[in-house]
Amino acid sequence: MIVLFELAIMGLVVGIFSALLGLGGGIFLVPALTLIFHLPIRVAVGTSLVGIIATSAGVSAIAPRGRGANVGLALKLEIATTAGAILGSWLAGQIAPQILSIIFSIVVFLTAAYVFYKGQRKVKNVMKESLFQRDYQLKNWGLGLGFAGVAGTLAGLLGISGGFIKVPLMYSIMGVPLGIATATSSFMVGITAAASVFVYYGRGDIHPLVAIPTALGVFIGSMVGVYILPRIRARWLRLALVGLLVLMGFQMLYRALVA
Amino acid sequence: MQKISLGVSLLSLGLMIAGITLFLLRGNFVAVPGTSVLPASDFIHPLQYRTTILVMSAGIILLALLPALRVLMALSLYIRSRALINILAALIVLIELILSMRTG
Repeated sequence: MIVLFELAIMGLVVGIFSALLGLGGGIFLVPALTLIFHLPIRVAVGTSLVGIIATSAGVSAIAPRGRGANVGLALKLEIATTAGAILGSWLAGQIAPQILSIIFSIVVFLTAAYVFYKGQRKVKNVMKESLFQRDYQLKNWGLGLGFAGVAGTLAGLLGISGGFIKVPLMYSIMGVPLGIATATSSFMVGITAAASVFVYYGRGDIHPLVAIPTALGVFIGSMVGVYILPRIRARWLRLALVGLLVLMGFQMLYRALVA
Repeated sequence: MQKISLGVSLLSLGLMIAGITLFLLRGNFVAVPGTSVLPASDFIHPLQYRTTILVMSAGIILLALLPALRVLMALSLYIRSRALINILAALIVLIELILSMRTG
């Protein structure tokens, strides 16, 4: 019973941290499950995918009307993302756990760099309405689909949401307003995770007694994190969490190479 | 669409919580990969264990089906509005999701 409680608390903390950094839960959850609970990485990834679907379901249920995703764009990009996710999930069963851990650490470092860069760059004086403007032209479809496929493959392989690829992809490359890109990405992550979760479930990498308390904790933690985010503006907190991410990445790399 | 989505989410959460509660009420220990806790099957009737696991698994599977349900609802909206390209995109994504279920 204590283990269930510990998993739920860990999920809660991870959910809060992830929401504060604007990330999906997987990037913190997978290292936490492998480093603290010593779970095999495939089980950790499978658990993370369940958590991602739970969080995505919760966020979409409370999303404000009129400021939602471009569902048409999401579905078109999901053609590539879902295919990538299935491929990534299959690959996870073929690749050695150590290699998986190394790939995960690299992605953790890249994510930390992205979050750090996002925090450092000066915020332009953008009007709120322009974040959700409707009259925009979509461009660079080929590049968009290519990167969406990569995001999906990483999501299926590592149990992450891939939002740190999808949002810049839509915003910077495809010309989608930032608010809509973020909402569209949130809509997409659930579908991408669902494509992977069945592959992991069939392989026996999802244990209900691990996945459920963790997913419940992450779900509640994300809601709490979203609630407290506007109330906390401390730059130091963001830097501390980025530091924690880097530390986790090094720990995973160390274990993969040495242990 | 949002109400249906919320309803299915709550149902899957309810199943998961019910499964965990049933498991705990029986005073069982938990066997988690990587830990040294005693296996539950040593303490409870195998049938009860299977039922509890089935309830929890049903919750997880229902949650995993929710995105497919949302794609299906989007498809029905696009069929009504006759947006052919979006219909095609939704169909392809649905087929991919069904393939992933068969792969698993």
